[in-house]
Formats: sequence, C-alpha cells, structure tokens
Amino acid sequence: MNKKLSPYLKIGRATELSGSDYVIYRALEILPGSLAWITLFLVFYSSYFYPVYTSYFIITFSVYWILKTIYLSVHLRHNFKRVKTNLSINWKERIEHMKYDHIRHLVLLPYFNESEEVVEKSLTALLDAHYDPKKLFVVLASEEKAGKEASDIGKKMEEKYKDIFGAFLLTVHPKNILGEMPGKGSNIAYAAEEARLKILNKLSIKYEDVIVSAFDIDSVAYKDYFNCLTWNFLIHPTPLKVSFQPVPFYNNNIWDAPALSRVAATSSTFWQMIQQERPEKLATFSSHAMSFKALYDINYWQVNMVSEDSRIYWNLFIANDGNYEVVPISYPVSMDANLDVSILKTLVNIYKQHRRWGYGCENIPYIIFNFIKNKNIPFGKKLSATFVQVEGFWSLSTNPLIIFLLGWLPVIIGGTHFNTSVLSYNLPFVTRDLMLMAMLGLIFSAWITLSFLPPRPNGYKKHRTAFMVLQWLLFPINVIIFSAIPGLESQTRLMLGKYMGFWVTPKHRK
Amino acid sequence: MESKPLSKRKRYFYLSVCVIAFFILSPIVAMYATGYRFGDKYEVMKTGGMYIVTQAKDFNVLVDNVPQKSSSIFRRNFLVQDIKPNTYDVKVTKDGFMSWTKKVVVYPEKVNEMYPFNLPETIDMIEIPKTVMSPVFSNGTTTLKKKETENKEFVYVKNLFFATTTKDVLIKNKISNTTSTLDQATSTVSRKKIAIENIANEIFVEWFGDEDSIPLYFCDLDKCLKRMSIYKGENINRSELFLDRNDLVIFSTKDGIYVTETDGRGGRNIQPIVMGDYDFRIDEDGTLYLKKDDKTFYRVDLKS
Repeated sequence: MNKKLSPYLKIGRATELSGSDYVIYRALEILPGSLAWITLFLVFYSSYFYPVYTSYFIITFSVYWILKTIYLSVHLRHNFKRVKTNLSINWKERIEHMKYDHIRHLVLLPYFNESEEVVEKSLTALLDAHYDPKKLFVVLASEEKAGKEASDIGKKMEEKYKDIFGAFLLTVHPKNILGEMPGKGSNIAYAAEEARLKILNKLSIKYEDVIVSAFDIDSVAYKDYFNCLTWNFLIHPTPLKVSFQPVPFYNNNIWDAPALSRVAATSSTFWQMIQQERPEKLATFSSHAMSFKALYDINYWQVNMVSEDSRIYWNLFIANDGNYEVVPISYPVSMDANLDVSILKTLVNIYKQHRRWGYGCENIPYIIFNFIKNKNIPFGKKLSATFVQVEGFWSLSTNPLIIFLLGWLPVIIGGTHFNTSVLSYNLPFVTRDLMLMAMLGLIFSAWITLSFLPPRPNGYKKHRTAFMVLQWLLFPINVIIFSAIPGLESQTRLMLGKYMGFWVTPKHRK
Repeated sequence: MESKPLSKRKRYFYLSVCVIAFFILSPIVAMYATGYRFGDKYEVMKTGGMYIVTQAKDFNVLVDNVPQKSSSIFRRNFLVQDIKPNTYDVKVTKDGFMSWTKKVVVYPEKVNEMYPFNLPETIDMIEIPKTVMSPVFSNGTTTLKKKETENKEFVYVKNLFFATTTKDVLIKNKISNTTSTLDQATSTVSRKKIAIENIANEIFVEWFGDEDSIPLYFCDLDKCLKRMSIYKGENINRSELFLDRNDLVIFSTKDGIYVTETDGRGGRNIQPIVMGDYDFRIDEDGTLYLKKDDKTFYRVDLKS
C-alpha cells in the first residue's frame, strides 16, 4: 500500500461507526428499504383515497415502462452486435502489434465446497484460452472452513497444474478472523496478498503490469478473454484508474438448468449487456478485472460485507476521488446458471442468489456516506452516482410490483364511485395492453438467447431449443419472484439492521 | 466494426425520442382510458359506457335494437363503451325467457352497470306429493311390495310454511314496524346489509352498510338513496330477496308471485313467476317452494 486511505473507505455497516457517523450511516442504511416501502404504501394509500389520480399515475408509469423497455432494448441490441463482433475478432493478432510481453494476468479462483469437476473446468478453460499459460498466475483460493474435502481438491489441482501456468498458488483462507465476514471478499483479499508475497514479489513483477481477474470458481474464460482484456488494458490512457467488466454469460450448464433458472440468469446477462452501453452507470459485477496496482493501493477487497464485486469499484472510485471508471469490454465469460439436485432447490437458490445481489443496496449508504466525507469528488459525479444507485435499487424492488401486480389496485379498493367510471373499467385493459406491447421485446430477447447458446449437447432433443424461446413467457413471474421480492427483502433487512452474510451459490453439474 | 459502446450522441438522441414520446403518449393514453374519443367530425368528445351482466349463457344484448353480443359459458359480462352520452333502450332477451328492458342513461366518463334478470316464460312447478310408495320386503319371502308412506319433503315444506318459528315472529315484528329500525333487522329479511320491508303494501329496500360501499343499484350517477320504495300495490303478503340476488325482490300478492328489481333507473322490470293466489318460501339452500290452498305444495325449478 502506498496511499493514505480514508478511515471510512472500508466501512461495512453502521455498527462499525459511532456518534454522529453512526447515526448518518444508519439513516442511509434505512434509506433504500424505506423508499421502497413508502412507494408501495403510497400506491395502496392513493389507490384507496385518490383512485383517479393513482390510475393516471399507473397509466403514465406504464407508458414510462414501455418506453424505458424500448430505450434499453436499443442498448441491448447494440451490445449484442458488439459482443458478436468482439467474439469474431482475432484479439491475439491485435495485441501482437503491441508491446505486451510485460503484462501478466493474475487469475483468482475462490472456491468453497464446489466439486472437482467445477474447479477443474475453470482451470482447463484457462489452458484452452488463446493465451500463453506461462503469463497466467493462477491462485486457487480455498477456505479453511470448507474442510478437508475442499482442501484435497485444491491439492490435487495444484499437483496437476503447478508446472503448466506461470505460477500456481493454492491459498487457504483461515477461518474465524476477527472483523471478517466469511465470503468471497475476504477469501480473495487474502489470496491477492498471498499472491503478491509469493508470486509477484518473488518474481519481481511490477504491480502495474499485472491485471487481476477476480473470477468465481465456475467462471470459464472464453478463448480470447485474456487477449481482449490485455488489449483494453494497453490501449487505455489510464489503465490503473479503470476496472474491466466482461459480460457474464451463464452458458456452462444452460442446457441442464430449468426454465426459470435460465430466464433469471439470462435476464442478468441482458442487464449487464445494457449496462455495457452505459458505462457511466456501470459498476463491477461478478467476474471482473483491474490492475493489481490499483487493488493493492486500497488493500484489496473489503472483507466485512457481502457485495464485494461491486463494492471494490466504489472503493476505488472513492479512493481515487471519483477519478475511476469501469470499462465495458463486451467480451463474455461464462458461468453456471443456478442448478441443484431438484427444481425446488434450484428455485430456492435462485431466490437466495438474487437476494444476495439485491443486497448490493448496502453500497448506497457506503457511497453517500463517503461522498459526504470526501470533498475532492466533484459534486456532479456524486449526484449522478447517488441517483443511479438509489433509482436502480428502488426500481428493482418496486417497479415490477407496481406494473404487474398493483396496476389493478384502484379498481379493487378504489370504492363504488370510482368503479362506475370509464377509467376504472379501462385501467386493467390499458395497462395489460401496454405490458403486452412491452413484452413483445421478449421476442428479441429470445432471439439473442438463441444466438449465444452453446451447441445443443448430444442426446438433447430438438424441443429443448424451442423451450429456450418459450421460456421467456415466464419473464413476468421471474421479474416479480426472483427480482422484486428478493430485492425488497434485502432492502428491508438492511433497513431493519438485520444484516446479511455471504451465501455461496451451490454449483451442481448434471 | 462496432467495438465501442453506443455513443453519447446516439444515446441522447434515443433518450430524447423516448422523452418526447412519453410526453405525447401519456396524456393520449390517459385521455383514452378516461373515455375521450374522436367524434363524427373528428372532434374530441367524452364518451361513457354500460356494463351488462347477464345471468347465464345465450342471452342477447340489444342497445337501441342493435344487437351487441351474446353471452357464453365464458363470458356473461359485456362492456359496451365508446358511446355518446345519451339515453339508450337496452334489451336482454332469450327464447323462452321474459325480456328485460330498461332506458339507460349514459353519462360522460361513467359506466352504468346493469344486472338484468330474465325469468322463464313457463315455470317448471313440481308438485310435492303428500305420500310416496316405498318398497317393502315381506318376511321370509323375496316378493317386493309397495307401501304408501309419508313424503319427507312434503313434511319439510309444510313446516316451512306453517311452523311458527322465532324467524316468523321476527318477520312479523319487522313488517308491523312502521319505522326503519335497522338494528332489529332480522336475518331473514336482511342479507348482506340489505333489508326488505313491507309496510302497508309498499315494499322498501334499505342499505344499512356504510355509504362508501353502497351498491350501485341504490344510486343514480352520484346520488344514492339508502332507503327507497320499490313497489306499491295491494294485498302484498310477503317479500324477500330473491334467491342469491341482492338486487332482486320476490313478493306475493293475491294475484300472483312476482320478482322485481331494486334498481329503479330507467324503470323497474317486474316479471311474474306464477299467477294466482300462492304463497312462497325460500329455504336455506335457496330452493323456492310455492303453496296453493294450504294443502298443495310445489318446488320451482328456475334454472335457465
């Protein structure tokens, strides 16, 4: 670390503060949940007392929703073409014309209790990549808490791959470290420091020349991922002031995952694709990359909170006084869609995973609090970032409920007088028709899904391909049950001070 | 080759188009939902509608003698909308059933709800015999014999008409009361906060729930009456809510048994069930029984 860090840079929750700082941070923790609940309460309240105005609001909101859908679809379409193009580019050839021999990739693969098959697939994917494995430093980051079985898998992988990559390090994150929350953040922060001491320092590698890819254990790099990442790193004027965000595909097991899991996973992919076209709204998500130097300067990931993937971006943004951004590389990495031994377990896992993602709202108090403390960040950037985050999480937990469930509320509780109005009769039909128009965009979604699908495995019948299209009829269910409700739950938990811990998504392969 | 994100210029363009579209579309959709439509000369005008709930399938709805739609198993309710504010003749018909007609006033931005009723032209009255023949097996033989025994249904129906129960007393008390005392409303003459009273050959219906939830058939536009007279005649013996309908009243006079509606907008329909000096009872299962001359009882099948 060569930078004096703000004492507030690594706050995890209000209870770590005292006095007025505690009060402010706690109030900010209450903010996202209270906004969502006030919105939902107001919809009920106004539907009962002011059904006419509420109906106009719902109609206007539906128009807003459909236009927003169209607007975002334009972004999705553009990114779809960009990803297609990027997949067709020979990135190796591109970087051949550049000086890149000094660049090394540090790949962090944290795991907990995943199977040997899952761990090995990620390692073999690194070997399959069109990149010199000797320039890849692989850290397999295990947890002491995971026990002997996980440790044995690590040792087996180390034995098998230690001489193939430029370096291979098996780390074991100790359990029960005071002040740490068990989870990915604390594991990879430990692994990164171990890699610095045992690989980078030992080999005298400059930190500025190392690009860290923080993967999940199921992350499978596409062939040209490292070439593409290297190219983006090299052409950027300030590569130490940016993180790089690939597009998360969930193709590893997509043919085996149930329809709701596929829709949930692909919807996440689509959202990330849309955000790739709006880089000013983009924060790092899931598998992401950045320079080791930037990471080292802020002492790696936070170890005391859940959403380490997005928080690391905000850590860097604040530590660099707002002079930090995310570069969307529009190149995919593939991961697992939710899949467990039974459909019910899979559905529960989807819910829990989305609740964890929804708990990214813990960034809101963090960001605003640090914006208050840091006077060097331009006000415009503070305002913009705050609005994007607050609006984003508010939309996540309330908009689908308003659109798909509460649109009928004035008709149900608006009273006799309102129920005799033409407006009352038309409201359900108008909102339904607007939603159906918005749902037409799902045809486009289905088309994109098909074009990024891996080949249908042998023995899988053709109707499975048809299901990949028909699955999008489940979108309204998905957006309520696996997006709005878990989002609302996580915001409520934060609001009530019932802080969440890190939940490891089970990885299962058929 | 598209390797850069969508340019800010393009994004602002798309955003601007969407924002403009929002400000144009929102009021248009809101006005459409409120009932605004283009008139014959492309002038913008407010329209209203009517909502007609038929009682079963295959009923035809006519507005000013123009056929609208017919009810089906899946669709008994019709919303006739986009109509100019005016008075319309609405008729609901079906072969073998009495017609229901009403003059319906359509107000701008309002929907008039109507619940037509159409009784069968010929009522299926099944006489309930006093006795029935029951099979009896003789001792030691397999010969089947029949013996005349008392009909349980006859006894049940007779009790409905003649038993002096607490219920009857309460009804009598209620009928003899000249002022509306809602707290005394009995379970028989009141249902779902609606009380029926027969005072000096005039039938009143009264709503004793809160004003916000008063049924629409107590109202004309925004004016609602919590108590209103629905029929005045001679020799009214008995009145009750009709079967499971809260907007229909069945009553008996010396001339016959009739059904009329609470909804007085555009004239009340009155349809006879049977002509003549009959009395009636509706049991807790909703079955209608008739009595003639104190000794003959009928079960009425009104299923359409």
